[in-house]
Amino acid sequence: MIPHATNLRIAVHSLADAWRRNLLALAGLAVGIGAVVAMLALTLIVRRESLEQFDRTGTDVIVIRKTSGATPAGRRAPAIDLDLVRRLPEAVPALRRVAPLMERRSAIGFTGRTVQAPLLGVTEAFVDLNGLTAAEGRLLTDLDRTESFVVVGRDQARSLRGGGEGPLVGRQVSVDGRLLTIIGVLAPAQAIKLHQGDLNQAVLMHAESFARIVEGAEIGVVYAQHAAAAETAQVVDDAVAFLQAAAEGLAVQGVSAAALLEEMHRQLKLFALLLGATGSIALVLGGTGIMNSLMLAVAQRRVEIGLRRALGALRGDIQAQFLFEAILLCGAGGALGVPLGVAATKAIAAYAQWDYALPGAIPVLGLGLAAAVGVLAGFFPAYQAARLEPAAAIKSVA
Amino acid sequence: MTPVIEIEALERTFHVGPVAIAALRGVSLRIFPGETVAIDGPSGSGKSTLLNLLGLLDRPDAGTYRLDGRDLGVLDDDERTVLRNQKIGFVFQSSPMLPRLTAEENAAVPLVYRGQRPYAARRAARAVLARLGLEAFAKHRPGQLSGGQLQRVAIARALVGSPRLILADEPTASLDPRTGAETMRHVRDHCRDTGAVLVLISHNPADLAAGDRRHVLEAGRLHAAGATVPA
Repeated sequence: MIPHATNLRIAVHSLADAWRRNLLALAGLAVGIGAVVAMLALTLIVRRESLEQFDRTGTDVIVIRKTSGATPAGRRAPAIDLDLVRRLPEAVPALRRVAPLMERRSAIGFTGRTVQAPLLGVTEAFVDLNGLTAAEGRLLTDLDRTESFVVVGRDQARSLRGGGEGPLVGRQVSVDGRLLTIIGVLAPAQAIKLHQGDLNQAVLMHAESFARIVEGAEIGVVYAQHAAAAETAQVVDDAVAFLQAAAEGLAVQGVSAAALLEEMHRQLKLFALLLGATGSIALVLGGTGIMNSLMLAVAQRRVEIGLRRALGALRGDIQAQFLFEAILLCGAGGALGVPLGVAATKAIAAYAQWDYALPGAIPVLGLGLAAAVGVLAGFFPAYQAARLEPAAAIKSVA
Repeated sequence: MTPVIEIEALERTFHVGPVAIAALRGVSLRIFPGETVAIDGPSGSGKSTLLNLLGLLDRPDAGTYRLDGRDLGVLDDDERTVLRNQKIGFVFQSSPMLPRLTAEENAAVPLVYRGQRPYAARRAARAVLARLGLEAFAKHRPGQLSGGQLQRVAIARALVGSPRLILADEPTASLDPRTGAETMRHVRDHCRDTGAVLVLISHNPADLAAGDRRHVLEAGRLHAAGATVPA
């Protein structure tokens, strides 16, 4: 066998000779490797994001929503009212904290400007459940139920300030024509999974004040935390049964955070499978392009192969030469594909507002995968080249 | 004296679909150290087939082939390759080259496959190229050389490993008569000095006349020039 360094040099020369064709094959593989890297990274990011959201809220939380706006008789279905919510812990003793949520998009006026923002009616339990903290002033408590106080989300506070730096606490905003006093600004809050909105953009006030000033205010969703020892499904059933029995015609649906988490894991698996399938197809196509390019190279270089064999190259030398070419080509594809995948991951994470983080193992895995594709894609052409009979290969020139 | 080449009743038949083409029919030949044997014959008479068999580029269907007394019929592919590299030098008709390598690198290829360090192999190749008047072209790539220069690089490549057998197919076809004669003189001198044998296929009367013996291949049968063709 000739030294690997010599084979490497031959491989580099040969690849350079057919650079246009090889560039195309390389681009195909780079896309494939990029897709796999992005697929792996995004799956991990999405999984981490989801788990972090549940870490913040805990899996001992249940969610109850009104399901129908009308009774079977065709009348308007009753709302989940605050009184019902207050009675829930007595009816279902396993419940520890019950947090109703009312929501309405409202016009918020401040210093002559008006912005549209989600106005949330919440209780102290909601603040506790979400682990909210104040960056300025204080948070809402149940003592504020009769007050006209609001707490502003971090981003909404920024918009109200309009680029200025002045304090907001103590100043007044108008909500649907009523003046409310800002008592606090939220510290950056993660949008929790159970609440679909972004708390940073919201203006929060006590649910009872909300019910008083917002016409037609209605509780859309109730979050509740149950004791750790309680059976979640039973708690959900009990809470739903109580609410439906307490208000005739009210139809609600309960779901546990654990069930949501399970559903999310199922969706993540599907997501990973989908991305995996896409990445695999791209990788197979890339590998096929490499194999095709090498098969063409074997056909075009029959004379060279025959000549080398005639001059003393063993079958193993020829095989190694073509394998080197395949691995070099795929290595280059990997070297291009990994940054491509990283860039795609960054772009998608930025668009989806996910925290970008890439475990170091993924680029290494991408490069390893590229080398593996090289070996697989190069094996057959290399075998074909090595099997060429020298006399037949150089027949046209001998 | 032990012959360098000893072939006995060599046969080779090619199958093209249902048609069997007998390229060589019972060819026997002995060549002794330092001898030059010229082989002539019409196209399709089996000259290239004989050269391929002698060069271990192909296997006979029947018959025996001994090189320096060693029966080559029992060797596997790798053993034949190693033997080819160590004992046989080729001058192919159209002087195929590895296009990315320089003249000296091309000429050094047999030594590289023999395991020599590239630098030492190139130095040895440069010395042979110099003997053939190509010292100034050692760093040229094949695309920068004329047909005649390429032919001499091919001859240098055949000689560089001091082979026991040199197989040349129309070695002077691309050379002018003076350069051709000069080049052949180098090859014959090499054979005389080292005891190697030269088997050359040529239609060039000057090459044929330069052989110690001349044979003719006709319809797969080999006979001495001037002898009656066996039926």
